[in-house]
Amino acid sequence: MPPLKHRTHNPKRRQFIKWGLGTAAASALPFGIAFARQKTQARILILGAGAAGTAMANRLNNTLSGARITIAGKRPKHHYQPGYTLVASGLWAAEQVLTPTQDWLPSEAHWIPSDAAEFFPDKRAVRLEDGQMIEYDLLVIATGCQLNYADIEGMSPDLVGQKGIGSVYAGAEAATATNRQIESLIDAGEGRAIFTLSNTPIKCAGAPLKMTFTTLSRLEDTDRRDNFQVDFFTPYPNKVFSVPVYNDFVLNRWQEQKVGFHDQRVLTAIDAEAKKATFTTTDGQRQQEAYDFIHVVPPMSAPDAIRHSELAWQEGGMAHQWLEIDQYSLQHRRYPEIFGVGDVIGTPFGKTAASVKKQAPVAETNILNYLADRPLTAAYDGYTSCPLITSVGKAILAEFGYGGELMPSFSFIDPTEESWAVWVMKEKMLQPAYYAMLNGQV
Amino acid sequence: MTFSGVLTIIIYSLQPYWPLLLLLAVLLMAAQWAGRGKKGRVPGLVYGLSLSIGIAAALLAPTLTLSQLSYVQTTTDILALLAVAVGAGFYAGLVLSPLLRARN
Repeated sequence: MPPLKHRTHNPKRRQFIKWGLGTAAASALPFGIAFARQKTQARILILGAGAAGTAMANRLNNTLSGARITIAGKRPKHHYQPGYTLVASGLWAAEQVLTPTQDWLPSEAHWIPSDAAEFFPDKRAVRLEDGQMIEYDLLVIATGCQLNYADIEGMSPDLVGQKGIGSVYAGAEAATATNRQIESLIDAGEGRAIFTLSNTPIKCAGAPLKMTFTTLSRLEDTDRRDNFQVDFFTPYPNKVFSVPVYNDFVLNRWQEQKVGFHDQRVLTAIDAEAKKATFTTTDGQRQQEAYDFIHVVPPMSAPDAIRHSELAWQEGGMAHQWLEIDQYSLQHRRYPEIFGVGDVIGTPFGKTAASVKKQAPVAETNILNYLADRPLTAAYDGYTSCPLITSVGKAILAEFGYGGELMPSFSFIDPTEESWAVWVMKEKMLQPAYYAMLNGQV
Repeated sequence: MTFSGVLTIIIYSLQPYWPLLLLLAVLLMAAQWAGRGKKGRVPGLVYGLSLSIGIAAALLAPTLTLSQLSYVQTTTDILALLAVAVGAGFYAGLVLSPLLRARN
């Protein structure tokens, strides 16, 4: 009988497999679990249960042991805001961007469904809208921004979806209503569409451009494009986007697509009944424009509770509008126990979900350092990303940071080229990546 | 990005397609089971069909992603489309060859 053939055990091979499995297991765990969690007794209050607040709650919950984390934010549903433009362009249903807020919050954290009403930074306390006074040792402000529709005379968020008025920013339902107004324009077979831009910093600055591009795309699909007049009004001289390369691309493309371009005009009033918009020029002249559809971009700021508090910038261009923080460390410039993340912060760039992806790890590292009395070493570089939809089906992956410097993440994607692959990323991959960010995993 | 981050993104991305992926896996296993014991030559038809399915999948991919073929412009776009063609063609080959190959 021939001897049984045994496979010879190779100790080096076994060790290699063990190391491989060990490494895979370690990398599969969140960083803070794979390594020792930092111990603290700190009472941490996170204001805002949106993208930034939720990501911070999960990250701090993973990396800290013993901390008492409270998160305050009254929205029962989490809104995937990068999906609003797809909803308003008739490509997604509103339900695709809504999930229960509770599902994303760490079970160890205490969630209070109420927003901040008043700040007492010297007492390290915040009063919530429901009347509760919460004291903290460390405060993370991630409230998002406030949409100031009322700053436009005659305008209110209730008008979105009526009388030709659309606005992608006012929520998932408003995005659906905006789509209905665009459909009405298309069904009418002719008419004038006006797109606007606010004269304040805004979240997702690409959204007004995307809405213009997707509407143009839909109008071109009707084969009656010439029956429609499309105009864009911007407060800035010859500018619709902060980064020159993208600004030039958009303006050139609009010229090809016969979009009327009107610069240095701010939307200051709307007469919904008459379907007329009033724009004010830089020299104060008012000019009225009739429309069949108008896309309104509201002025934005930090929520009133913040902008009217000590925590807002007290001087400069962002005075009494945005949270005063150091643009690199994300720490408040006067109250070191306060950090800011997301749309609320007063930095030159950084009001997109992709910005939060970069800000959250920076804020987390600096918070850990702050709690351990170490110097703050992490720095946010202003990273902002926007898959700029240029037509239904293609997009440019715009990625940039402070100073407008291009910061491409993928060597195989040209940051200035329109691409189907980028569109697929926007339409299929961005939402999963966003949810991974909420979980504190990317 | 951590390994878990990549895994999370993949899992979330595939979530809407689990029933389809399951169906494809079952179809593949059923074809392999039906073709067990067959040791004959793989007919040329399998190669022709697989190639056609791969090409059809690539041509349909932009439409299925709410886009259009004319927007496949960059090198990355073209490589992605080729990957779709190769993947779909290879899968079709794996399903068809056990079914259509000769017994001996």
